[in-house]
Amino acid sequence: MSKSETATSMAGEEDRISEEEEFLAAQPFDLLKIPALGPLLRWRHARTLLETPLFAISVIMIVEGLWGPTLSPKNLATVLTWVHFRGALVLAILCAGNLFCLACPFMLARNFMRKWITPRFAWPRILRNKWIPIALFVGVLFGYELFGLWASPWLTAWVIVGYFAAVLIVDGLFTHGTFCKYVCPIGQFNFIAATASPLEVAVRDHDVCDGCATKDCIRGRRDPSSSLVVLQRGCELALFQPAKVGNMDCTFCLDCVHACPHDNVGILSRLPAEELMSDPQRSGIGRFSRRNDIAALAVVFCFGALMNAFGMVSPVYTVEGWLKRTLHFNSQAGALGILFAAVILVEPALLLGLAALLTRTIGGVKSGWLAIAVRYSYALSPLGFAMWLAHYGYHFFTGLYTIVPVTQNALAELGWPILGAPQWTLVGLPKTFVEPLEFGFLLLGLFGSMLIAWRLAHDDSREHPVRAFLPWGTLSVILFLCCVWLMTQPMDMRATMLAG
Amino acid sequence: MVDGCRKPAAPSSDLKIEASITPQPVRTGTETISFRLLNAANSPVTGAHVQLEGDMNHPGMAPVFADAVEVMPGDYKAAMNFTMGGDWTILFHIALRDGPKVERQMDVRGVESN
Repeated sequence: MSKSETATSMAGEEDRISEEEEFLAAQPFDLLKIPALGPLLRWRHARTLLETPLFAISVIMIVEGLWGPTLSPKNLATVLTWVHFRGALVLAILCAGNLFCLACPFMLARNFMRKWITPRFAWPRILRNKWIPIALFVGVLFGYELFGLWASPWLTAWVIVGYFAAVLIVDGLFTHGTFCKYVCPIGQFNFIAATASPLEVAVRDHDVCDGCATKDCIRGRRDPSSSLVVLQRGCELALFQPAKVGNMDCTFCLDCVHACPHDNVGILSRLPAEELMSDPQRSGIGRFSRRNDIAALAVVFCFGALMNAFGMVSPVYTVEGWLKRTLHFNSQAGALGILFAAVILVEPALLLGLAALLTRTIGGVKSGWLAIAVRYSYALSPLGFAMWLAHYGYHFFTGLYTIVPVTQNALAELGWPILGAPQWTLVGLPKTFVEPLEFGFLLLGLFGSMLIAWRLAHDDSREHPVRAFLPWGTLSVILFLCCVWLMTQPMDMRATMLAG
Repeated sequence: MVDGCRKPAAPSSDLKIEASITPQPVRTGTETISFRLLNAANSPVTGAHVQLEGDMNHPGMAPVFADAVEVMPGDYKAAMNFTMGGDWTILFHIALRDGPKVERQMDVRGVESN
C-alpha cells in the first residue's frame, strides 16, 4: 500500500470512527445495556423476581396491620404504606420511571390466579377510558381524609386486602390488562406522573420494526404446535411499540422487551415531560387532545395534590369551621365532600375555563374553549407531580429511619428480637435538609409546566405565542404559590379531618 | 380534649391512671401532663418511675419523651412538648417500685397549632 493510499485509508478510518462516535453520542442511554442489570431485566422471570419481595412485604403488612400494634407509628402496615411506599414510588418515578408497576405485588397474585382461571370477557367498550379510575382515585383521597387511613393500621391492612381482591376479581373476569388500564387508581397516578420520568420503554431502532413481520411486542408469542399456549405475552395494555409515545399506560412490565425477537426494545432516556409538549397519535391512547378523560386525570392529579396536602395543615380546620357555621352542617362526610368538590371540581373548572377563554380571545387560538382547556391541562402535570413529590418526599425523608424501630418492634413481638430493642428515637433526615428539597421539587415542577405551556402556545399561535401562553403561565404561577403556601403551613394531622 | 385512658395492646395489670393536661385547649408547645396512679384498691401508687412518650397519629413523625416527677404520693407531673398540631397518643411507660413494668395509653385529640 502506497503512502497516499495509507493516508486515504487512515482518513477514511478516522471519518468512520468520527461517525460512529457521533452515532453513539446520539444514542440515548439504555438501562437494558447496563452490565448485570440489563441482562437481569431482560431475563424472562425478572418481573416475578421483582414482584416477589413486594408481595411478601404486602402480606407482612396485612398481618401486621390486622394483628400488630394498634398505634400507627409503631405498625409496619402504616409506616411502610404512608411513609416509605408513597415516597419511594414518587422518587422512583422522578429518578427513573414507573418502577412500582414493574414490581407490582398485585400482578404476582393475578398472574398466579391466571394459571388456573382464564378470563372470558372483554372489558365493555363504554368503560374503556379513565373515568372509573379517576373516580376511584378521588375516592381514595376522600377516604384517606375521612377515615384517617394513615392513623389506622387495621384500615390500612383492609385497603391492601381490598386491592388484592379487586385485582383478582377484575382480571379474573376480564381479559388482558384490564385492571391496570381501566381500573387501578395507583396505576393511573403512576402513568400521569411518569410522563415526567427520564426513562421510557421504547423502540431502539424504528427501521428494525419496519421490517418486522410478527409484531410479537403486541401479539406475543404462541406455541407453534398449539395456538392456545402463550409462550410470551405481548403488551396487555394495547401499546404497540413502534407507535408507542411516552409513558402513559405503560406499566414497565417489559413484556414487549421479552417478546421482541429482534432485541429492539430498550428502557431509553428522554427529556422528562417531553411527551407532553406535542400531541402525536399514541398507540393504545390516541391523541391527548382528544382524550377528555386523560385530561381530567391530569387535572385531578394536580388539584388532588393540593387537596391532599391541604388536609394535613392547620387552615383546613378554619375552613371546616366556616363551612359548618355557614351551611349549618354537621355531617363530616358532607362537609368534606363540599371541600373536595370545591378544590377538585369547581376550582379547576373556573381556573382552566378562564385560562382557556383568555387563550382564545387574546391569544387568537381558534379552537373552542373546552378543546383548549383539554390540550393545556396536561401542562399542569409536572406541577402536580412536584406537589406530590414535595409532600410524599417530606414524609419519606423525615421518617426515613422509622422503619428500623418498627421492624425491631415487630420482630421483638414475635419473640425473635434479633435486631435488638426498638430505637424509637431513630426518625429521619432533618427538616433543614428536606425543606429546601421540597421547594426545589416545586420549582422544577413550575419550570416544567411553564415550558410545556410555552411549547403548546408556540405551536397554537405563531403570531401571538406570548399572549396564548400568558394565561397558562399565570395559572402555573398561581398554583405554584398555592403549593409553596401549603408547604409553609404548620402541620396538623387529625385522624378524622373534620373531627375538629 | 383528653379522651381518657384505655388498655393498650402491651402488658396490663390492675393499675389505673387518671390524667389531665393543662392548659386547655392543648396547643403546640410545652404542656403539663398531671396524672395519678392508683392500684386495684384505689390507693395511690408511689415511687414509680414513669416515662411518657408522645406519638403523632401519623407514622414517620419524631416521638417526644418526658420523664414524670412524683409531686405528691401517687401524683405525678411531666412537661411534654407537643411539636405539631393534630392527634397525639401518650404512652405511659411505668416501672413500678417493686419491679413490674406496665404500659398505659392516652389519646390527646386535636392539639391546636400556635
